[in-house]
Amino acid sequence: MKTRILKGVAAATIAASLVGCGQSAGNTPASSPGAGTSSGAAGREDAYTVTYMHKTNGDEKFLGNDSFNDNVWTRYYRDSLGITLDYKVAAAGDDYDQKMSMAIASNSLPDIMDLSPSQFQDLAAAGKLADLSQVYEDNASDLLKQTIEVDGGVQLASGKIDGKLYGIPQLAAADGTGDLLWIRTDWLKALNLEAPTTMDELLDVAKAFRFNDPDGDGAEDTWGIGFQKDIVTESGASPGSFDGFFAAYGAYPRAWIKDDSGKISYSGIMPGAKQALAQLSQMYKDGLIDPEFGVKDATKLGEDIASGKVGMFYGNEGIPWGATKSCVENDPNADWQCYPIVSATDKPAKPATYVRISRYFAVNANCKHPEALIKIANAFQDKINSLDSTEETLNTFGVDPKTGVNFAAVAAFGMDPAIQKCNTYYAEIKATLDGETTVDKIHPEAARYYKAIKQFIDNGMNGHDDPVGWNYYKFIGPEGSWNTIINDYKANDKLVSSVFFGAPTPTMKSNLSSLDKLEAETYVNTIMGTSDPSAFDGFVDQWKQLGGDQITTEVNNWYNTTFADLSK
Amino acid sequence: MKKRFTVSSLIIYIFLGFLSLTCIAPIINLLAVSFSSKTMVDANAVLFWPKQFNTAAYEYIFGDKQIYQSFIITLLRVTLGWAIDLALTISVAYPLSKDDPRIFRCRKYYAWFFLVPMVFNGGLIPTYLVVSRLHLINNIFSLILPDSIQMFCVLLMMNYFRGLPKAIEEAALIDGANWHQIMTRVYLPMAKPSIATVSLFIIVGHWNAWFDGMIYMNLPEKYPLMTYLQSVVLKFDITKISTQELMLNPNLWEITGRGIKGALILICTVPILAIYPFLQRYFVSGVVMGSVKE
Repeated sequence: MKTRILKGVAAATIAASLVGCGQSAGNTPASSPGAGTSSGAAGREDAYTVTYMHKTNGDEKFLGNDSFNDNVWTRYYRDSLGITLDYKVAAAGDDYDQKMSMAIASNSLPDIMDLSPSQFQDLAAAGKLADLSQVYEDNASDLLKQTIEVDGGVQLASGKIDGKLYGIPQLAAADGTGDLLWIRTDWLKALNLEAPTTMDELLDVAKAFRFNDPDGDGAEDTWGIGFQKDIVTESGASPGSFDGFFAAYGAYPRAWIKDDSGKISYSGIMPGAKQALAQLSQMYKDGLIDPEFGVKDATKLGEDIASGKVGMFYGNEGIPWGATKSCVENDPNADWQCYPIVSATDKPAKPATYVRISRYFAVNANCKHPEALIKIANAFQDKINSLDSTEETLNTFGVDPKTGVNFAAVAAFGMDPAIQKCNTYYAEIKATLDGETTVDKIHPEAARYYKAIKQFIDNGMNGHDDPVGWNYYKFIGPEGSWNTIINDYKANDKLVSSVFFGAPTPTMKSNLSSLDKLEAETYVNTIMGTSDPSAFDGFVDQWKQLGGDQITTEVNNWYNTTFADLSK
Repeated sequence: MKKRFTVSSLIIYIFLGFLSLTCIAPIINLLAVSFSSKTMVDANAVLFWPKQFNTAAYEYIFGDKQIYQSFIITLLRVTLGWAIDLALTISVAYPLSKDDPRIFRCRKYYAWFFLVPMVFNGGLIPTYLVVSRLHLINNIFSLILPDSIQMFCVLLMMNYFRGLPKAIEEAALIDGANWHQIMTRVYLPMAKPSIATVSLFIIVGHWNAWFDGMIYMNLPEKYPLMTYLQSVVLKFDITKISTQELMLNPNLWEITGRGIKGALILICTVPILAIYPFLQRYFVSGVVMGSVKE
């Protein structure tokens, strides 16, 4: 009895000390479900407020006293659309995921939110998200629909469950995820070599780069071809990817490929992977692969590239922003160029592309104004993506010409037409350089890149005038990576898409991480010679038994249900 | 007597010197990295001396208003947190140091009450729920009130109080002082080393804490310095940023280097390094005396 009283007293003391700010424990307000509240914003009767949890890039900049809750875009939504967008949370990366988990756990979801694919799947299945099908049909402008459905609605279909649209995907540009072969052209010249077009030629170049002292310092300290440690990864380990190498044998370590009969299978267990591993193992034996590759991640390999120790690697189109740029700045003689990947067979090598949807924009089922999401999304299209956009609009809502602050980065639900964007810009920039059009006639954003490229062509790496001219030149310029993608890969129908990009299937959630580990261990052991290439067949059986077959079935089911409407 | 220089002391000096070097080397490396050009850092060519000396990293950091906002929040948090934590710690430690049941009848119960949470805690989500239901989210007090009593500090202080002679307390009682007066006028002035030690723990703890800032603060402009530092150091990894983002924001490329991170780490470390020497002299006596029990 005595202890019970004491407990009560103690609990009361603690409660009192915790709510010391004049709020008694008794009347703590019940949790608000986060429903849209119609607090009348000044001047409009139909004005309302929606709360929003936003995943940021982390590098957003503002002018003056602006912030997420008060900037050129939120003022525009409030004044023109009558929508006050209230950022409850704005955080980047893992911080955001943590906050989202907290919001889900404490049942305090906002009206509109950015969700990762698996969170999206869970919340939609739990009935926490609003059905946007009708809202999207009624409110989306033609331009928004055109932007989102440019791929024929494939990515949008992944936001549908049972035919109902629960989320708008942030569009991903799949074309750019295919591997390219990046080579140091000054080394090729120094050794009188040509860029390789077959696997045998690639091996010759790799050998020459390794043993013939391409940097002329008299020491055998260079690697012909650089790899990093993550083989089984979908997230694009670049530079040093294995994807492009495996593609020479028609296989990919982590892709889901649809065959002619429409069946989807896992490419990491295909016979091509065995051949690729046997070849890598031979290269390792010949001393062509850095024995430390197993502990080097993409950043570490980047250091080797930047310090001029690597002459060739597989990587994506964004490489000019990475280590190669540092390499070129450190060594004025160095130059990098991308080439199409090479084949080891008589069939052309096809790089795999991946749709990587980073987030879905979704609306709380309790929200009274689901149309806010679409209306705000329309605004970005009108201001930024519309071809009628004037320079002045772009300066106000896009990039501030004086300070370089990018307002567009803080626009909500900005749907970049990423899929065509690079294609269009590449064509426009090329036409301008060839004199077929003039800089004031092309899209203002393309014009920005054109100026950087022109600056580089005219003045070279001219100090700090425009430090990124080289980057744009090698990326979207006439010799850039998009040149290869458009004029080689796309023109010759060489891109193979990995068709699965949904949230993890049930068996993936439970078994995939151990399957990936098994695969990675088998691959690395084979390359390093600790296990024989023939052990691959055992691995394939094991992979299938440990849930791989089940996952394959689930992936096929996902594909057939998700895209059932599209194929009709 | 003049001390002789013996072989054993030589070995000790070499060993200690080496140990100190391993502590100072990473800081010197960071300093060199923060003053080098991004490209040299990317090539991993910088060790203990800057290459292609420049101050771009510092210009970037001090050109961003976030660092000032975060610094003010951390300053506020440290000051407020120090005052509140210290007051609470003293007011828990002092009564608990009275182990005579005639003076403090329920001491045993209270001791357990405070000891149990030292070992068990509510876990992340329940704690978050408590804080959010108290409407402390986005509020500076969410960084201060939870964990405002560190049991380690209470134990340290309690044992220090116990170590003081009981006769002083009795003398004060005879002179007519009440319990509050005894604490504030007699015991606290004698407990200065212990207060300094505990203050140091509290200040360093508040300065270094980043996780609560990440959980309870929802907008970047409310992040304390260490949460901001954590977000910058972990996030700006060139291999994790999409090409589309890079194309739109060319300055992203500039800030992905280790130079910015190094500079920021140094900026965040310097203030705490500066106050350490001043509290250091109390530190040893405070910890040692607090640990001795009669």
